[in-house]
Amino acid sequence: MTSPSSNFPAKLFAFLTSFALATTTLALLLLLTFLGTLEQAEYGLVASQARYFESLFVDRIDIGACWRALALNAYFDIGDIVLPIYVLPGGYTLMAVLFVNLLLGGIVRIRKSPKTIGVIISHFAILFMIAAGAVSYHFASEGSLELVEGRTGDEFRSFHERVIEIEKITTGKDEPRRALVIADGQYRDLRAGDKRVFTHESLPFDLVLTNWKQHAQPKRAADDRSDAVDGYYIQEISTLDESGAALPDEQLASACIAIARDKKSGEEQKGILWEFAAAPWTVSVGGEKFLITLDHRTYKLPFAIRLDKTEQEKHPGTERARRFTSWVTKIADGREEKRVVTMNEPVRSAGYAVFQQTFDDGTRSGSGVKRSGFQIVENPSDHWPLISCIIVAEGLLLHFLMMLARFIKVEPWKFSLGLILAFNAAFALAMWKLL
Amino acid sequence: MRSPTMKHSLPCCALLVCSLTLTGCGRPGESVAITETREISTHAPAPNIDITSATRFYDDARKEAQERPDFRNLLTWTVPEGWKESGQPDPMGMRLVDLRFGTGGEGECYITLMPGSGGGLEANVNRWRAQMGQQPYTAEEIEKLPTKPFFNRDASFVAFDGDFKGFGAETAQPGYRMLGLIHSAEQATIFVKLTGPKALVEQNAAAFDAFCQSIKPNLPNQ
Repeated sequence: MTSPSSNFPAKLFAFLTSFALATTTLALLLLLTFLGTLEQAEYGLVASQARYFESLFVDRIDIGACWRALALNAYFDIGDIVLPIYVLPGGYTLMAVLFVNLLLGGIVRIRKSPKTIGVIISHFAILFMIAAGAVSYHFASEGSLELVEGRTGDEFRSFHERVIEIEKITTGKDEPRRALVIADGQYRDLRAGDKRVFTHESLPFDLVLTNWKQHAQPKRAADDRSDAVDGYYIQEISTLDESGAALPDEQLASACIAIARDKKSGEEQKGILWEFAAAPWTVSVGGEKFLITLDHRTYKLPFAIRLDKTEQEKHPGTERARRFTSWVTKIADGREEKRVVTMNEPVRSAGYAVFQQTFDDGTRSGSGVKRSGFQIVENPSDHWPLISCIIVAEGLLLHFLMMLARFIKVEPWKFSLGLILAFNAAFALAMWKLL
Repeated sequence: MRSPTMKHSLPCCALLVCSLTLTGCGRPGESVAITETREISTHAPAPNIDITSATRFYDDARKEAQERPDFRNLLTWTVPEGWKESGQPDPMGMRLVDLRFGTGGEGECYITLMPGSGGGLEANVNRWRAQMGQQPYTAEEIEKLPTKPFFNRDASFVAFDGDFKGFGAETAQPGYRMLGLIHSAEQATIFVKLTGPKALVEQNAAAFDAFCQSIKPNLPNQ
């Protein structure tokens, strides 16, 4: 008789490979998709994605928002009901569980035979797709770079990530400029009354952040306002538009109050940081000046891009844009290379893809100067989902053809592999003709 | 023997236990050391220092617009013989004066004034070069641009030949020549730009120089 303790690994293995775990995980993923999609109507894509699909656990569920998204409030209004619970696992946790379940159950534990080879291939491909999601989540970055004709840039701004940066003003002309970076995950929970101190040995002051708001605008304050900073206060603005739909994340302008506290004297300087501010907040401590900004995160490119010329092509007889094209020079290690970026035809280099995103002939900015906006994407797993989809298809095709071969009593391997070869050849020919 | 209900509740219970264990995770403490740094690109714009809250929050923009003087009154100039003011409003409404010359008014010359550096000499020269279908100048080539006296100082002078495609134009006009003068001061940058068919521009090159020399600040006491 085996003791319970010696049975534990076997029990754990049985649990991790069980169909019950797979079914529960898939059911919870379905629930997350349902809730996340409904909440998206009021919270926006980015917020819903973060809460439901990228989190370890869902911190709360806005039942009222889901109810309204289903238009059930037309029959019965339940008001604002929010469940502040950490019970529902988030997409990140569920995908990790599914990965383990599929790896152990669908690859390790599964019976290995010619009958299951197609299924094993498909399982492997699904694991590859989950891995692609994890790599993309952890290592991918995307943002935009805007250039006017004749200008060069080698940095791009993230679409959704915000940071607070502290830059010490350097006096030397050739001295490199550096900034300390505080990620938004470290301060975005600081509502009114909450505060957090950020320190760095190179700074003569500590930075205290408080009163963060997701969408706000500084307003001129009346004399009697207690929360006024330098004559302004932060007015919170609704994140919904006039029709009640969530504003896109890119249109939200977060703000917070920052206090620079001198490490020696304890003297405090107070300022408002606002995402849409025209200039940074300047702090002077001990004869040195520091610039503090709340802005989108900046990423460095391994090469620079100079916009030589940009043009837009319009549909004949209309003002509707048909195509934007930019003639750029890629500069890396002192070498220049002429490239052309146009819509749906990005330039790829050093793991980055540069897409033509926007164009302004000078009317939008009012400057009369032409400019191009590029979307920059860095994703090490860029093509992994496509590859895994192809492998899934091949695996399932093999599985079904083997079953068919056994049913019609022909040699399974020759029949299946012959047909798969024919399918692939036809597919390749079609793609070659199409592209 | 376990009941089927118990067996199937195991995954759910496990997930619940995990969730309760991790409930308190994730919130940073009251004091956080900054660990991340980044190097700012040499291509990044120069920092704006000591900007007031009113300017940072665009609160003075409306007031400034009300108080902004009519730039036409800031300068005086003499229109060369045979040149005349365009009757059409310019596309961007940025020209202080918009002149035409040539039998059909093919040649145009105008003055614009922009606050600060107006985007910088390099960007503006290369924008003009792009309009003429020419490759951009390098920083070294920009530095070597000839200068002409203007406003008692030196202004960068450019002369390009090429196919001119102006702002908003659908097609480029071949065989054109562009003359330009850019003078940048701390407060503002002034641009004088002349374009037209090459032969016509060459005929009017002296008039362009004279026009540039005639541009003076409009000082009430002088």
